[in-house]
Amino acid sequence: MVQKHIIHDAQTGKTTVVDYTAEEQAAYDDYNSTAKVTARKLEKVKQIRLEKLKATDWMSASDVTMPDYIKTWRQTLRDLPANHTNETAYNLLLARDSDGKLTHSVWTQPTS
Amino acid sequence: MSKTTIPTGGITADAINGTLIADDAINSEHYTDASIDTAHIGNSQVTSAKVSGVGGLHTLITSTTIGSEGSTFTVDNCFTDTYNKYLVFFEQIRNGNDSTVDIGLRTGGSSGSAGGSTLGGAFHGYRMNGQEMAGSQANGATARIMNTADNDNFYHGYFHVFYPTTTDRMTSFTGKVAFREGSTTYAGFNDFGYISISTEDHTGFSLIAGTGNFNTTACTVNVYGITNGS
Repeated sequence: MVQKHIIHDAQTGKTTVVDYTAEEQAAYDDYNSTAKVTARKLEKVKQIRLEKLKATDWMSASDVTMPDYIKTWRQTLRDLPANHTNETAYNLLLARDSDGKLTHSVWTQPTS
Repeated sequence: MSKTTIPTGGITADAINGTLIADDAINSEHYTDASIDTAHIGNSQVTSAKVSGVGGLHTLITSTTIGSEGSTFTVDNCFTDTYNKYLVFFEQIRNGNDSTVDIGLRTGGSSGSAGGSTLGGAFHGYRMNGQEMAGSQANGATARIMNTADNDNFYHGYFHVFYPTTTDRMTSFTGKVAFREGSTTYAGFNDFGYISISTEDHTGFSLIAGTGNFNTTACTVNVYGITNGS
């Protein structure tokens, strides 16, 4: 589908709609290609993973003993990119409820 | 032989019409004080040069809505030599989920076209989970103001444009937008500032969505010219 460009002339007040030029369309299609979209979703997964890891970094201090279940969870987070390699998997990891909260269980910090 | 002394009583009421009055002959002393009403001033006749004592005057140049689906919305012919400072509000905007939003400058007035790849600058913001958002551009045709916008929430923002048509000074624009991020749904804001490193005469601008279309129901763009006042 060809994207549209809406052009308003401030002096005449007229608005026209034209198709994207071939160059504009190529740039749009490239940005929205499956490969680029998938790559961006992976970046988001990594971003969220980093937040979760940072939240438990304090447990690795020398005067604190990190529980094994936290160690296991952190390793699971680190392994996410290796164990999830396509857009469908990233969609599941990035799914949110109506309140904007992530719904995938992997993001929930275990308590035991 | 023309008569040189006609007493006032010898002239019928309303008998002297426009053809009997010389051009540029009536001075303002003949007007009754406060007698020039709104109906006797033509539309758009009071220019900034005729105004003083009004500080920070904003004059609406255009107000338009995005009435059709499109990924790029352009306002051409809004920057002229009349002003060297402008304020642009973009309101009630939505676009495709996770879409980037860029600003580009235009040249050519009514036959506008995209400006050259001359924009340099950056955006920098903060969102409610305590993380920064940032990006930069060097020699680009467009300038990013948002990396990823949520499609379920309207966002609003503004930017000032400085010296767009003064070719011996570089055009710059700087602004702010608050929004809900598409990838995280966290709310936050971005500040942004860009300079066109060129001598282009910029006569308009574009808002460009990286994904999907701008919504057509409420998106509004207002452009104001700004005077220094006095």
